[in-house]
Amino acid sequence: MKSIPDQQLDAFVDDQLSQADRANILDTMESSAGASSKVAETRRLKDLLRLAYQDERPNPAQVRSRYRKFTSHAIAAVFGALSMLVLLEVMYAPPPDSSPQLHPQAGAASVNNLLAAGSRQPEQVLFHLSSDDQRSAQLLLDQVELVASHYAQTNRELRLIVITNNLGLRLFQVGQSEQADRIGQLYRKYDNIVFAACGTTMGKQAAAGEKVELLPEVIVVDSGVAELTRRQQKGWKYIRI
Amino acid sequence: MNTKIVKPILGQIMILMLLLTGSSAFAAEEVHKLVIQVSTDDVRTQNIAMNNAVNLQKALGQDNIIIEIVAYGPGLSMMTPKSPASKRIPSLAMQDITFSACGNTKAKMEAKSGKKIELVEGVQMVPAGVLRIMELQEQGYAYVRP
Repeated sequence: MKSIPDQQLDAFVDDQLSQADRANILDTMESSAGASSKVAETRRLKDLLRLAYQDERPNPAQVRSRYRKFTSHAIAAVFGALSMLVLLEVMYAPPPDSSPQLHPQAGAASVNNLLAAGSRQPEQVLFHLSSDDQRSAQLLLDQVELVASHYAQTNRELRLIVITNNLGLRLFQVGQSEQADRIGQLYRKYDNIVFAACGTTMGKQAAAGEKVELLPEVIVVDSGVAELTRRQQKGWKYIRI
Repeated sequence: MNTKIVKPILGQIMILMLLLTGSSAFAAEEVHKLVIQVSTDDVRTQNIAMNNAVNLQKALGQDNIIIEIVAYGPGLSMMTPKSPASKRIPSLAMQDITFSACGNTKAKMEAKSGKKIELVEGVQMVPAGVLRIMELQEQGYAYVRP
C-alpha cells in the first residue's frame, strides 16, 4: 500500500503544494484507501486544533475582537435599526408632512425590509485571491465594492470576507500593496467587509526571511484554504478572482 | 372466456408499469447544475470554459446538466465579436448552454471607450456577473473557474 510522508500530508492539507505534487497525492489517494483516510484524519485534527486554538486565544494580534464580535454587532445593529423604524412608523402611522425619515415611501420600504430580513438569511460570500497580478487585484476590489454597494442599496444584510493566500497576500502587505488606500476606503465605508490573510502563507514568507507587515484593516486566519472550505460547507458563496 | 381477454390486459398493465417505473427512475436521476466563471481575457481560458461545458454535456447527457457561463471583467471580451472564442457561442447557445454577460462591466467599458459594445448572438445580459454567480450558487449550482 502506498503512503504519503507526514510532511507532504501537512502541506497537502494546507494547500501549499505545487500542482505536480498535489496531483501525485491525489493519485495515491485514489489508489489507496489508507492514504485517503489518513488525509481525512489529518484534516479533522487540524480543524479541531484550530477551533481549540481560537477558543483559548482571544489574542488581538491573531483574531481581533472586531472580527469575533462582527456577527453579533451586525445583527444587533440591523435589528435595532429595523425595530426603530417600525416603531417610528407605527407611532407616526399617518405620516406627517415633511420629515424626511418618515416619508411615506421610506416607511413602506422599511416594513418591506423587515419582512425581507425576517424571511431571508444574510447573504454570505467569500472572495479569494491567490495571484499577485495587479489587474486581478483591481478586479477583485471592483467586484467586492459592487456586491457591497448592491446589498447596501437594496437594504439586505451581507457578510463578505476577502481571503488572500500565496502571492495574493501581497495585496494586504504594507509596502507591497498598490491598493492600500482603496482597501482602507472600502473598510471604512462598509462595516460588513472583512479582509483576511492566510497565516500559513505568512509563516512561509517569514520562514523565507521576509518581513511580513499587514495593512491595519487585515486580520489573520490560520489557513486561507481551510477557512474557505469550512465556510463554503456552511453555505457561503465563493468567488475566486 | 375470461382468460382470453384478461391476459392481454394484464400484459398491457405490466408494460405500463414497467414504463412508469422506468421513467420515474430516470426522473430520480438528479439534474446537475453548473456555473462556469470567465473573468480573464485569455482566449485559451475562454475556450477551456466552453470545452468544459461541452464535455460535461457529452459525459452526462445534455438533459442531465444545466450549464451557465458567466463572463465579467476582462472575461466579457469572450462574448463580444472581437474575441475569436466568441465564434463558438451561437451554436453552443443553441445546444442549451446559457451565456450571461455582466451588464456592469459592459457599461463601464462603454463609458471608458465611448463606444457601444456589441454582444454576440445567443448571449443574455445580467445586471452584474458576480451577483449572478452568487444567485446561481444559492440555487445549488456548482462553481467552476477554469
